[in-house]
Amino acid sequence: MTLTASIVVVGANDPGRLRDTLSSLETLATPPVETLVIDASTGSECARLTAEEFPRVAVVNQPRLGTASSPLWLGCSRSTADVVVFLEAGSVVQESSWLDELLAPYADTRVSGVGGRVVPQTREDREQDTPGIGMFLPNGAFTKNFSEDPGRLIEVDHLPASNMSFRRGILSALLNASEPNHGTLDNDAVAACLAVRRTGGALVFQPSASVHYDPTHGDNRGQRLVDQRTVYRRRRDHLALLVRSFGWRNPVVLNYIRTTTRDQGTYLWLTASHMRSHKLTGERRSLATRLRALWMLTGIPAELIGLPAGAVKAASSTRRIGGASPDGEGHRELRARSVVLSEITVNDEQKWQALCKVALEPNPFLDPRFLMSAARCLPTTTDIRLVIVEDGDQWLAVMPLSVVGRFAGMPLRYASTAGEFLGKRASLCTPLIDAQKPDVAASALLRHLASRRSRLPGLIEITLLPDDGPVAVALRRAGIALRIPVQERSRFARAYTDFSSGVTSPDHFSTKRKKQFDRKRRGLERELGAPIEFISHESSASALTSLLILEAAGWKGSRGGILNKKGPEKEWFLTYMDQFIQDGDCRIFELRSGETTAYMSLSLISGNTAFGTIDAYNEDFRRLSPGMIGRVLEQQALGTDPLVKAFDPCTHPKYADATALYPDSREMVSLLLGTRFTGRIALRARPFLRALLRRNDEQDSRADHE
Amino acid sequence: MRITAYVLVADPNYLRESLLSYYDHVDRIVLSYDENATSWTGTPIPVAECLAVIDDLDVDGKCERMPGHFARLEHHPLENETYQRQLALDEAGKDADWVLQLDTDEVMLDPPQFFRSLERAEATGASAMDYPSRWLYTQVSAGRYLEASTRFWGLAASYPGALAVRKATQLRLCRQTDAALYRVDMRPWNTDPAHSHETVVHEVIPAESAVLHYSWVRDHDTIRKKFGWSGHAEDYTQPVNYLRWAHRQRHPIRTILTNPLRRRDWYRLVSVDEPTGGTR
Repeated sequence: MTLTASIVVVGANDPGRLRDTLSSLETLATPPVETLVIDASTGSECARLTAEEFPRVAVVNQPRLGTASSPLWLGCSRSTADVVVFLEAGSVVQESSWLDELLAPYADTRVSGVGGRVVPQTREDREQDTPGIGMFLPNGAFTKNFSEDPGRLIEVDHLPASNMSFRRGILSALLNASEPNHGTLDNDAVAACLAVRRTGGALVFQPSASVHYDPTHGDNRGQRLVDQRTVYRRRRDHLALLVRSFGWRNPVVLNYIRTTTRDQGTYLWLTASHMRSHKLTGERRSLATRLRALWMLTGIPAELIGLPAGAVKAASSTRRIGGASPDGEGHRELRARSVVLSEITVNDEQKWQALCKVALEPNPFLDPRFLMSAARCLPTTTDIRLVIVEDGDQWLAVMPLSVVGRFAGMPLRYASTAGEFLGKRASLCTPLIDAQKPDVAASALLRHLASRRSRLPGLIEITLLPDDGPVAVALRRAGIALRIPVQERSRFARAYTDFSSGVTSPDHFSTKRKKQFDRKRRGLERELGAPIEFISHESSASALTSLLILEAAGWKGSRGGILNKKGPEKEWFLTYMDQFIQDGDCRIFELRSGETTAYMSLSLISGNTAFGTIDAYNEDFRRLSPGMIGRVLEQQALGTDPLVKAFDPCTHPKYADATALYPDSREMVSLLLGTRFTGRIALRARPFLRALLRRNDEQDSRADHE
Repeated sequence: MRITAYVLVADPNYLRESLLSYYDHVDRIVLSYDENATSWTGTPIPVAECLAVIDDLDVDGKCERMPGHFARLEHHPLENETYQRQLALDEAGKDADWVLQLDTDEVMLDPPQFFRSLERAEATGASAMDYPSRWLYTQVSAGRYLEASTRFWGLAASYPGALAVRKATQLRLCRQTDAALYRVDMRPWNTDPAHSHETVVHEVIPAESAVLHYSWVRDHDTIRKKFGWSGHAEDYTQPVNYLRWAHRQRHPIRTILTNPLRRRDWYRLVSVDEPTGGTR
């Protein structure tokens, strides 16, 4: 298959250089599909030149700030061909076969990017670099040497920004997943190349696709004089690039810091040699010349200050491009973002719904049908920010967070999965995590929460989380890997029925209680005058109406049953229930005898688990405990449902009698995560401060006692 | 990638271990030796003994003998060495992409890693590969050796020359060449005290994967002979070299403790698995 190419000319700020480049492109044997010029000039000369002399070339203005200010991002987003080729203004193509040579290596599907030689106009301009072409060294440095001709196609770690190309699909995915703006075009190119390499793509250097480049023409690029500001910026940007590409804990970051520190000896040696009274040739140095040599020493602070400045720069925009997951599962390009519910699009809802189906642990209260209906009806959801981890078009994790105040003993604000809305309406706050990639997703989730881009506090509470569930395990594991302290704030045991255990209510009842259950059941049958039936209505809208009427008639109705609620709340409930009913994701049961209903219940189905949502009983038969009988029969009915493996009645343990109806229980925990500096410090100090306060209280009470 | 090797047949010590460490990974091994069993300095060398060892281990018939006249006494021994190596390299490179040039007392500790590095060197367009050797000075007891180190007992690599070169490479002196080097080291920075700290490192490998060079690990009689037939015979035959060697072998602790006081010749005590061969 023949690949098409778009050529993007970047760094156009000098009409003369731009004309040279565009003129040379007109000689190509195979013309590109399109040619774009990224206009970086402040005036309109480049645009005018292009319009007058090269009418088929499109001009794109380069913004000064933001993601779109990256020429790579601009070029990739505006081009349409299979391969996007970047040429720097001032590069002059010498051979008409240049584009064909550049595209030839793409025949190998492993190849994601190809670069060509960049030959300076004069021999003096050739780089005096360390050996190796386009290599990334273990000490964090890069070699260039793109003017050299190895005589054959070779693999490289990065490509020359003046003459490089990528498969557009791959580059587009990488730039969408990462912050493309690294300060300079060279750094942007290196970051993109490193990201490509980490995804397993190959980058190759094609020496026969060469361009000539005049580094001194028009601007000060290639200037030999290197001042302290330049070396400072170089160190700063380099360290920031490494951190943003590999993460703080990658050994290469430390290696680079150590290398920089070791290299400072060169300044000392140079200064000492220039302060000698005589040159090697025997010529005498004047005192002024010798004293001027001391100026060289100012390079040391310039370089060393560049390191912390680079760390600050990286920290301010830490967004690792991929990176290793805690379980060492390859390197994936994941994107994480936080959005308010109102910004979720219809397309997003579909991806969210798809995630619900493959979630590691089901949670109907984080289902878009539940939450988005609430977002459309209730104002209490406006504080919810949805933290999303995406892998291309697929959602890997979703966690809702609301910023709430401070809790006792904690001076920091925190964000909780149980905000104003979910705290009242959700019985479970387990984040949704893709079952196929739990560790990668959990890691990306926490990494995003640790970055300022999340716009969330540095202290996070994940509450109502099953402690022994795989989500808690994945979160704890990711916390360990990312050195995010995870502390338990509270825990309680909640009723649960695991149908795989083989024990179903009332098998676990004591003999006395079992007798009581049988007695009440017989009593109910006597009272109703007919044998009782337990009917499953599956997902029936009319059955739901009957349930709501039954609820409204009882004590639950007087305390805020659905039918007695205000308009928006009722609308929300009916809206989301309508969707669950349409999808067949709920079960409505009825305990009745003849025409008399004694009990009804509603459970939502998510994954392979049923979640109790509402139940109500006929208060005329309160004496015979229809609620207890109904809940026992409800478990038996769900146990025979082939789609249901477990039942979470969502019953708070304070309802001891109700809790005792279920054979199993599971521990629910509330975890605190110190995702950022202040949160980490606060969490680490918390146990000591609590112990201190406790000791102080004990001493006070002892003193009072005495 | 087709890989061959050449060896200069002169010293039977560690010959078996050296050849066996890469025998399975190469297609052909060229055996270069002086037809008169004479060294570059004119002293006799045990060629027949070496060839007997090689015949014993060459089960696949990969070894090819290439005798020649290399004891050209009118030339400097190092020139003779370079001459012999170049002829052997040209012969071995006839049907290969890369040629290994290990001495017979150099043993690959981790051959898979060596050949992985070689593949990387090939991919990056290099023409020669510098691979770190750990230079053993003497054996002080069973499995205990004095190894060349930095002044403060740090890990030190030694690079006698490229251990693998592309075919048709021109050697400058002995195994050294001006071809584009791919340099492997045991740290992200150069660990060879003989090279500048700015020397670039392209790949880092663990110390356990380096090549072990049993350079001066011989018994007293053999080391004296080796000094005589070596390309560096002019320096090595100075009595002080042997006396120092013998003294340091007797007093290894004193030798390593006095490292900081010496301007060169720094050692550390290491344990190395005893090779199956050797002379002790």
